[in-house]
Amino acid sequence: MLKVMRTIFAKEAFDLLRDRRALCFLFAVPILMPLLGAIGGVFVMWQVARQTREGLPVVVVNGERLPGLVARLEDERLLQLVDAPPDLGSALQSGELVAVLEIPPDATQRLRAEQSLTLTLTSSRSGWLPDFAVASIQHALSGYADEVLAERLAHRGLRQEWVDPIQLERETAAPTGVAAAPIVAGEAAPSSLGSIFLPLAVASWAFSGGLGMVAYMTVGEKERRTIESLLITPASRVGIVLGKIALSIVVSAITIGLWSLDSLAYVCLLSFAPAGFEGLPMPIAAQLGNLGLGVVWLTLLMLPLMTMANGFVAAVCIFARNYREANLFLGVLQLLLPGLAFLAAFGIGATPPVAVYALPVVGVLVAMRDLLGGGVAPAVLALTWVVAAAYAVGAILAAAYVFSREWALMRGV
Amino acid sequence: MIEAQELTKHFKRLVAVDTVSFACHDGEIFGLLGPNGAGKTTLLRLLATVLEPTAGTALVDGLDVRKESGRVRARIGLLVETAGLYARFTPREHLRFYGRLQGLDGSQLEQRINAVLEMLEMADFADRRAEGFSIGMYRRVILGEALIHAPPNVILDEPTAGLDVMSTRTVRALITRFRDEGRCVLLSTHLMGEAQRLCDRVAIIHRGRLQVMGTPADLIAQTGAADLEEAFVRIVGEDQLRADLWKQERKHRWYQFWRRSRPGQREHLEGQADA
Repeated sequence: MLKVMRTIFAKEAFDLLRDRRALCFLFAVPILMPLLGAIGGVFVMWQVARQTREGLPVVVVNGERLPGLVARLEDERLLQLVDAPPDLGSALQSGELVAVLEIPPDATQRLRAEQSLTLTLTSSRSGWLPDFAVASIQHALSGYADEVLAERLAHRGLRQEWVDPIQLERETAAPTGVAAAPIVAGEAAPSSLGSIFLPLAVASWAFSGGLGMVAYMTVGEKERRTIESLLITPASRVGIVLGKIALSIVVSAITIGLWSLDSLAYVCLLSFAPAGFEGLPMPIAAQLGNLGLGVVWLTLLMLPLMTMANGFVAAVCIFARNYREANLFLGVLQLLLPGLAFLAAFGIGATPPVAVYALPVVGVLVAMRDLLGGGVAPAVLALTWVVAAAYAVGAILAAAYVFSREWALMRGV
Repeated sequence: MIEAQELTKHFKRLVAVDTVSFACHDGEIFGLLGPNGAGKTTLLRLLATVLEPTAGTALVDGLDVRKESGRVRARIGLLVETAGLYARFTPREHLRFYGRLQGLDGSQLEQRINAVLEMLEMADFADRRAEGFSIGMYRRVILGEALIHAPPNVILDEPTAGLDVMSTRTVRALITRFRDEGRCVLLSTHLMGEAQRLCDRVAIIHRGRLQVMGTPADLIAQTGAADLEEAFVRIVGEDQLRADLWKQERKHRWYQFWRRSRPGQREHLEGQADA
């Protein structure tokens, strides 16, 4: 059987390597798409860095009325306060100015009289550079408003607590068991986004990586009318199926590896972000969290999920009459998948019963969610892995069974 | 030697092959003739273990197709009429792939590949990808796949369909050569001239049943026809006529039953028809 597996694996791999379209679909997209994203990201950062050095030109009209605010605006690294040109409107339209902040002439008197004050901010045409300038001006204004408020409170003998009677202090419980949650500023802070989207992404990768390959290798034999030639050889049918599934698993693993490398590349890119971005640059270690045990468990959980996905898809595609029917089945599967991922992320409580971890697909996704969230006990992870491995074996056996059944093989032949 | 013993195959309610029995001996070309949909291809698939019989069985060199399908497959070469190729593979790679699946390896496999390439005159295009091959090239590669392991029993489904004159002659010469080498050749064809020229014995299958079996000369003599084609038309035509008459009789009986059971409605409908 091993010889048959090897022969089928080699034939399918050889066929894949000669199929430029399939190679592009499988590997070029995960390689090129993040590359294009990275180029775009670098361009944006470069633009922002250039503007940070030179400063976005902003005019403050009647700035002498509020010198405190002007001082704060001058402290903003993205802004460069310039003298007002003769025609402010045309300067804004031409892009010579990014924004104009107009302070009313009676601003000082109004503040002294403890009255409210309205400033007018006019920015040039919409775009991300004026947005950056507006955000910086709002930041400076907010700081100045706090300063004015503090002065007024002091003048009336009141404390800050009088304005903000209730404070919220947020803490996050440390992960229990094994966790791959990112660590921010040295404190355990489970990543809610990661715990929601990573299981979804992993599930998509597991099902999408070798999915096209499985369809090509199984129902494709019917479409090319080569299935009978294959069936009349004495080769073990289990060996034939295993050879095909083995290649699709390898392709899935490579695809997942490429996507993971893409994610890592983004992480590195974010760590080199220039000053001026809120919260960036972010150290790589802070983004990746507990590299090591958690990531090893993630990989371990991914393997049986991927194998099960490929086995299941193979069984479905062997049964299909043609590509159109196979695509219909796979379309239903792809609709079902996000549903399962969202069920795992939102529909199952924080401490589910152990039986949940034994559910097909959902169990692994919940385990991944917990791994990226509040942590999960190693025994539960081990149970999830064992059950997932059993499902994977079951899916492969199902594919082998379907490949030996006349009612499936001869459909559409 | 291939021996069918009351071989039967049902697809739900359709009886594709109905208790067919015959024997094809070593060193013999046995022709299976029949109109489209007669059950010839199903019968060949049963013998090649692609399909499982509903009842009855077949023996290939004494091996039961039901119980020893793996060993049976190693002893037959099946040329499937509608078989396809892997477009990105060359004929040599096709032969290597199927040779390995047949259990060949190393120098033995390479020797067999070269022998088949030479036998089927494929040397000119042996290393060209199959994409864009002519029908003749296609058929030769598929025939090569069936012969790579030098099977003692060869089953050929329409081996000359779509071939030009030269390729047809090459294939016919090969079939004769297989017989001369002592192999058992089971040939399914629509071409009566080909069957008459090549086959030692023929069997005519119609509606899944074996109608007659014998040498072409016997069938011609039995029917009083001038050649095998006319004999075939008489045998199949008579059967077709009987079937059509039976259908008409059945329809008539249903009509009589309807007239007796629904007199009111009948009169109403007949009145409408008169009006």
